[in-house]
Formats: sequence, C-alpha cells, structure tokens
Amino acid sequence: MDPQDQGEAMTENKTGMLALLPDDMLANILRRLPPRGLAMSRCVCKSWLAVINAHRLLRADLLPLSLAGFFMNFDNFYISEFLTPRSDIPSISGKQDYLPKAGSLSWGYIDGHCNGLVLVNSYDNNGDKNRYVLNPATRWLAPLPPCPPPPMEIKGTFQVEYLAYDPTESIDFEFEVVSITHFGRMRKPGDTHDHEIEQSEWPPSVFILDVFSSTTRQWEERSFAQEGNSSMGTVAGMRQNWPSDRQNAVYLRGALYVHLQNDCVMRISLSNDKYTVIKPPLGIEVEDYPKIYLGKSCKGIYCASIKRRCSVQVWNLDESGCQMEWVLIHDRDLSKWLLKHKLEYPRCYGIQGPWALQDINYYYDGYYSDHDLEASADERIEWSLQASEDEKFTWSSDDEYGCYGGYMEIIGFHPWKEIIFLSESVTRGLAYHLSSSKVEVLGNICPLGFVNELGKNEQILISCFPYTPCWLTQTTDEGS
Amino acid sequence: MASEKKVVFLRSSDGEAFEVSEEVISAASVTIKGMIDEESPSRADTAATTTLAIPNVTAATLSRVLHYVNKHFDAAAVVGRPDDYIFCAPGDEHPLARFDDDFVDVDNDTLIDLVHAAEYLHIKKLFDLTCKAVADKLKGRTIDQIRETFGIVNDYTVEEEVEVYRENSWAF
Repeated sequence: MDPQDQGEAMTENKTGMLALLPDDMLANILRRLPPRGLAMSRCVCKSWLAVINAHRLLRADLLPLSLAGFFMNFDNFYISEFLTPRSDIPSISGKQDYLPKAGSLSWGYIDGHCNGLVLVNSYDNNGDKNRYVLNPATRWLAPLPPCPPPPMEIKGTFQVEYLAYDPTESIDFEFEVVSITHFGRMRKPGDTHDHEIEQSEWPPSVFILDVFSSTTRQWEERSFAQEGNSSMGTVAGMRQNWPSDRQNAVYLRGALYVHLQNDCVMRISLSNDKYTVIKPPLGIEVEDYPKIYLGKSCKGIYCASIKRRCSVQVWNLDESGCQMEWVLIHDRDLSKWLLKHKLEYPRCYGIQGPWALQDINYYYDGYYSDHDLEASADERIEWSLQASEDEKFTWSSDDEYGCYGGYMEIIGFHPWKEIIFLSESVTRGLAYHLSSSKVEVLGNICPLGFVNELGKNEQILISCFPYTPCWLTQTTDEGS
Repeated sequence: MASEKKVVFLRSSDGEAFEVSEEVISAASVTIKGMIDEESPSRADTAATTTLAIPNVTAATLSRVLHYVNKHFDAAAVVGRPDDYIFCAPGDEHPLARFDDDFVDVDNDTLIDLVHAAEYLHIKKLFDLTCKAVADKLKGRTIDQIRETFGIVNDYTVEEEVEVYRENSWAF
C-alpha cells in the first residue's frame, strides 16, 4: 500500500478488516479461542455467530455448566456419596471401581472438585494409596505423583492439595494442582516447635508453593508475591484453629480461592503469581472450628455460615476495591420454616423430594449388582427448580412454634443460581433460594448405613462440594 | 550451475519484485512451489531467472512474509529444529519463539493482511501463527471492545441480542 493511501484508508480500513474475512478464515482464527472467548464472540455479530455454529467451534453442552449434584463425605465412609436429582437414569456414579489397580479395598474418596475434575484417592489391595485426577463423566484419569515435601519445613503441618482447572478458559485441558500447608494443633502444652518459626508471620511475604502442572507432569516450586495486607497471624496463632476437611477451594478466572485456618481465604493468582489474604467476614467469630463455607455462584465468590443452628448468613466477595472484602447479602433465621415443617423421626422415612443420595457405600458390596451407574453422554440431567411446596408460608407470620432442636450445615452453593443447599441434621436436604427466601425440600440425605445409628446432633458430614460434569474428551494421553 | 543457488523473483500486486531462494520459498509455500513446478520444464536449460506474479499480496506484506520465510525455512539460517517451533510457548528456548512474538506484534490491519497472504501462499506455519495472534487480540476483551477494535458493526436487533446474550451468559 502506498504511504499516502495508508493514511487516507486508515479510518475506513480499520472498520471491517476482520468483518470482511471469508468465513473459513474467520473460523480458523476463532477456533484458537477458548470456549469462553467463543461464547463472547457469538455475541459480537450475526456472521460470527453463524461461523461459530456452522463449524461447531463451541460445544457448550460438553462444558461443566450444569450442576449434577454434590459429592458428600461422611465420617467412617470410604467412598464419597453423591447427592443428585432423581431421574430414571442415573448420571454420574460416586463409585469408581474402574480406577486402575482396583481391588476389593479400592474405594474412591473424593476430596476436591474443580469444573468437572476431581481429586480422588484409591487404595489398592496392599493398602497403598494411589492418587488421581479424574473426570468421573468421561472416566479420563491421570495419576498424580506424590507432592515433594514443602519448601519450608515446619513441624506439625500437613499438606492439602487443590485442583485448578477451567476448560472454558483453555483449549489444552491443562490443569494445575496446588499444595498448601495447613497447621496441626500442638498435641500437648509440652510439645515444642521451633520458637522462631512459631512466632513468625504467616504466610511469608514471598510464599513458595508446590504446583503440579499437567503439561510438564511435574511438581515444581513457584513463588507467589504478597499483595495488600495479607497476614493471617503467626504460625502459633494458626494452630489455635482446628484444621478441617470442610475447608474447600474455588477456582475462578485464573485465581484459586482457598479456605484456610482462621476462616481466612487466600486468593492465589496462578496467572500472575501473586497472593492475597481475605479476612473473614465481619461479625464472624473465629473459633475452634471453621465457620464459613466457601463457594461460587452467579456473582462470583461467596461464603456462607450458619449462625445459632438455623440462621443462614451469606456474603459475596467484593473484588472491586484494592482490599477485597466480604459483603453480607443475606441473613435469615430459618427456624420458623423449620418448626412449621418439622422433621419427622425416625430418619429418612417419609422424606420425599426430587433429589436422592446414591448410597454407594450401602450398595457397593454387590448386594445389588444392578446398581450399575453407567455414565453416558445422553444422560445429562438438568434439574429444574420447583416452586416451594408451601406457598402459603410467610416469614412474617406471628405463629410461635417453639424452639428448634436440629442443626443446619451447608452442602454448597448452586454454581449459577443464588441457591444454597443445606443439610438439616444430616437427614433432610434443603435448597434455600436467596432471591425469594423460599425453602425447597430436596429429599433424604442420610446414608442408609447411618439411619439407625445416628444421634440427633451428630456431626458426621465431613465435607461436601458441588459437582459440575465436564464431557470434553481430553487429548492428553493417560501416562500410565 | 549446480553450486549456484537458484533464485526466483516474486512480484507483488503493486509491482515490486523481491528476490528469494527457490529452495527456501519452495519449502515454505505450497502455492509458489506449485508455480515453480509448472514453470520448470520450460526453464530447465535456461539460466534466466523466473519472475512469479503474486497478485493478491502487496509489497509491504510480501516483504514481511519473505522476512519470515527466510528466518524459518532457510536451513542455513535456522538453528535448532524449525518444525518444532509451533510447540514452543513464548519464553521457551526455541530461538524463533522471540522472533515470532515480535513478528506478529503489529497493528491489526497488517496482521490481517498477513493472514490473507499466508493463506494465499499456503504457508501453514505462518497461517497458524497469524491466526493465533489475531485470536490473542480477541482474548480478554469485552464484546464492545472486540467490536470497537476490529470495527465490527453490531447487527443484532435488541431482541436477538438479548437472546444471544442470555444463551452465552455463562461466559461473562
């Protein structure tokens, strides 16, 4: 182009260079975008939508965009239970007898989930633990080698691994696993650790973490720089708080949010190697046991807490300012509803609802061989929200129903709707709709093995998290 | 004759001729290799160099393309294994990864011209590189920013736009 033409044509040419590309060339460009970019490109103009659809560049139906249920870990159960909407055809199984080296002791215990992938432990017949990253929908799996000892050796600690995977942001199925130190309690007052370490601030200003990358299939040390006022206290202070399996993590837009001791949440940016500590919501008293449940829903990162047995408090993380903070968006005492719709004992009988527990642990031994829960692409379930069963119920009614004797626990958040799933005395599953304040009965959540043994207020729910199946077929080979 | 490197001339749409090694350009461009093969019988015994017309590519773009071709396909200039370059992420040791990054660090129009040229000349590596570079420019932008950057007119009606946004709302 002649220089004089260039200036003249600048404004005109700027418009339409990309618009004038032939369809197949445009398709060649767009196919290099991850699914999220393709979904946005669909909205740009009609011809882009047509090209993306004609070339089938975006298979949103394969992405983890629907809630299939919740994995729930119960005390004394070696297999994770799966709570799922009822359907004639079961979708995903919590049973992983297809894992390699499966033996009679080979039970899958899922202790982490991220966008369709889970971290699963299985034990072979020798009792050796094998750890995998598994896609329960496609049954793709990759062995996860043991994490090397933490870079900074501190006595009385243990490592917890967290998955970071987002197939909407990547075209290569790559995932990462981050290993984070948790602190155990001092066993007795006489137990001494290194005094200097115990009094030091945690986490250090440059936090070195072991990160496993699916690309290199190796653990490597990565340094994360502190951002903002990010101290959680001293190492000794961390030990005051009981480490718990209920502390889970959320991966959103390149950042891993991990619920740590003292109800702090650490935001670890894997894309720019920085970390921030988010202090617990105001009004949460940090006590022995973790109070908050961390999750994600339609407006990003959420946390919730149960106050005085049956009050639900929900916060949304405001990330707009320089200091991220929790904003209280919901606070409701559910006792009125709970007392009006009293739980009938004995457990399980008479609790009907659209959801059910698969009771893998009960059926696992083969008494019911037809309990074969095959996963297939045609069996995806979309649970449709039901109207509250009691339309007449109002929160403002003056009826007095007495004192509520059960206790609530949080099962998890719906990833795209402002609904929080609750366990009432590990017996009845409830879905509480934040926008309408309506309570919906999901069904029984007490595993069959516990029905006759469980006391009224026994805390047997160890951990639980939502599961969103991902049906993409990984091209990465299995690396057996 | 045998020791002498054969060259061809490529004439751009605006009439400028560029000299390039026949061996190099044949390795790079399927289109030009085809043209040369077609010409071959008639020029077997002549020492005259061939000039090939490239009517779809301007001089500015052609000179960029040849810069790329000489870097990537001239065996004497290439260090390492050129065929592996596409698997090298920026920052990897491959000597051409940096060159490629710089090569596509140009304005949108130049980049789109390169996509066209790579497609016409059938240089797969360059086509992949430039398509990916355009895709990278789309990444991380809002829908409005994409429209603005690439001058695309929103031709959805209000109702259609509401519908397409709703269907893809998970991505925002």
